Amino acid sequence: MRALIIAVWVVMVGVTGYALFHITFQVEALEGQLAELNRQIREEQERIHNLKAEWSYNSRPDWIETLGEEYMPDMNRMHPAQVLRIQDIPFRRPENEGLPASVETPATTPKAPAEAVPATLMRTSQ
Amino acid sequence: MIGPFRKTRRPKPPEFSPRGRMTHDRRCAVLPHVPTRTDGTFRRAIETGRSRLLITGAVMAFAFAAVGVRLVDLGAFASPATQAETTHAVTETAMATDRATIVDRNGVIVATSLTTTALAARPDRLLDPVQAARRLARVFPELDVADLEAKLTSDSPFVYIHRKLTPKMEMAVMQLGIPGLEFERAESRVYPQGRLMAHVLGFTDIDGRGLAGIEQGLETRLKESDEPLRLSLDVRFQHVAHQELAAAIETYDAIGGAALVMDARTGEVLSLVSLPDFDPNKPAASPDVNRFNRATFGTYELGSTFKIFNTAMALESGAATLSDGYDATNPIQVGRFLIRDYHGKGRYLTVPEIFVYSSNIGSAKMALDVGPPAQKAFMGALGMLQPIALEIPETGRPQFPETWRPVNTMTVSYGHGLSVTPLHLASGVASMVNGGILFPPTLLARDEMPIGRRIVSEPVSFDMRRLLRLNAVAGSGKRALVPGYMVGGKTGTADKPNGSGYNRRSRISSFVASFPMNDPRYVVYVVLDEPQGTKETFGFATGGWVAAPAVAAIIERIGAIAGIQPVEEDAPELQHAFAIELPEETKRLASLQQ
Repeated sequence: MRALIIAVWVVMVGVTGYALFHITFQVEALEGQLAELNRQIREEQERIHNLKAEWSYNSRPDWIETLGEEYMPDMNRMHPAQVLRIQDIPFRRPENEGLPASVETPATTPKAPAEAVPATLMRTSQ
Repeated sequence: MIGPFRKTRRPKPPEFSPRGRMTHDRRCAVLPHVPTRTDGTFRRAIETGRSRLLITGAVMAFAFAAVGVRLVDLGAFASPATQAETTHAVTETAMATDRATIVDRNGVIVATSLTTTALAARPDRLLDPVQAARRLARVFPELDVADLEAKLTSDSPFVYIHRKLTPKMEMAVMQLGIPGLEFERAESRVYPQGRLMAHVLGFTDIDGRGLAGIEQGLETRLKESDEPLRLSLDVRFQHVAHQELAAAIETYDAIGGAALVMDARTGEVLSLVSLPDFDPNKPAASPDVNRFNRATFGTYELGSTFKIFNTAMALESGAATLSDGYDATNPIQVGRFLIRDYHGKGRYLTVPEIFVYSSNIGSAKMALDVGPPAQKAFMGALGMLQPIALEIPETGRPQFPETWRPVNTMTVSYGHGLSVTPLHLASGVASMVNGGILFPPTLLARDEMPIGRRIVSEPVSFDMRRLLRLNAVAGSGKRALVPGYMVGGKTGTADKPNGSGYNRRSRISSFVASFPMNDPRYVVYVVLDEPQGTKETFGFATGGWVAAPAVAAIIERIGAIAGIQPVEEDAPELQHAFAIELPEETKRLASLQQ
């Protein structure tokens, strides 16, 4: 009986010791991995940072303009009259011509004109 | 084991015994010269041991008690929220730079720090400096061998060979394997937009200290926080203003100029250009004069644009109304000064006519009606008498007469005798059109409405908008008109002082505009320094000829970028609201005015 108890104790101490060391080594290994991942994250962040700076450089307005002039020669500067309010854009005509237009228009529609109104619709705050 | 509290038997008091009996004692026989238990020293040793044991025991008991208390505390009372993070699993997520990035109002990077590697050498540790110099020169063809040799054989303990190595260069130097060379990680400031914001951003020296602009003015903020600094400027607006100003300077052969776009409602500067400029990536490549900031540092007599303030002051003080008028028949002689009109009408002029014709005589009389002290106070309230508290150190101090005499009042009324920076003028005009409230100008994005200071009442502000609109439609501002944007503006042309008097050939021509006049959003100001007339302008180099077209071009382009809804300018409601009656002659002749 006494020997058994001693044996159990010895086994338990052994198991505990092994488990302890095992976990310690595992934690150490994981910490190593974590450090490596952190290093990679940092490197990625630095790379992203550099790429952002490069993006800012490559999207300079004058450079975009140069590219636009070269590859989109038909594009012109926007004229103020081309700017419309969202209300001035007409709703698409209902595909089913049989139904009255009012059924197709959502209830929230303001009293918007059905036809395209040029940018002459004025807005005054006075 | 003897516990600290176990009672030990006290030794019996020593009893006198003759020496003969002592020989029978066993101990005495074994250790004849050791002190016995009856001896005083022995007892003292035991006492010391016991008290030491007691102290140790107390300390141990206290330690265990502390551990126990802490255990109970952790187990029973500690809340999960206050639990400290695990100490060993360090997570490094944020990349830190020495200086914060600067972005524009939309988040476009305009200045940032990139990690670079610098190559340095410790000459005293080099084995063969001459050979090292020769081998290094092969890696860096741009460096001179003789210079390198001189550097590597010098007495200084540390010399820089190259401040910005590419990874490829770094590799090549590593492969040389020269002992005594060192790599140093450093940061270099990069301005991806190049010259675009040169005068706003400024630049840094090679060690990353701000030497001008925001870099210098907000040095502490940039160093302390990694959060990007958000400017009020818009890269797109800035590009437009830069391009159009450069074009105007080129066309009219000016020596320089400035362009400003301000948000009339918040005082935010959306665009600030001063030309000529420099590349903040290599500031030394441009002449030093290019660093002069004409928009915020240079002070000028800005001429007739001051009539905006003068008229508003007269209307606000009640000295005049839009239907009043002044006799502008004859020039005014004050001492050696002669105040006369550029386009003399030689008759009685109404207040709107004085504004539209830019009559100096009428303005001077209007200012005299208000009086010198009130005028000085008004200019002070507008901030025209002190430097603007901007985020950059380059802010100009206005120059004005020490004693504000009537003659000064007269000259200041049309923008002479008081030198301010273009930014002063733009922010002043913003306060005139936005309902009468002056907002301190800023280069940083404002997320909430700033607290402004009321300068003029809302009706006066509306009158000013009507006058500015009238001037753009019927007066000197026609070349600034952009159909649909309700532009209103005022020209300013001032001769530059040269020592004793004024030089009629070198002048400051400017145009200040705001749009849309029915609900002003932006103030646009263009100043040209010493423009020359061309064949197209019939030799004129006044604000209406040279600066107004640039303002129009800027308005047309930024209006589209900002998505401002064009209005129908001929609509009866607007026509009615902005109508100002002018005598018939004015309507006919207005088209000739500059």
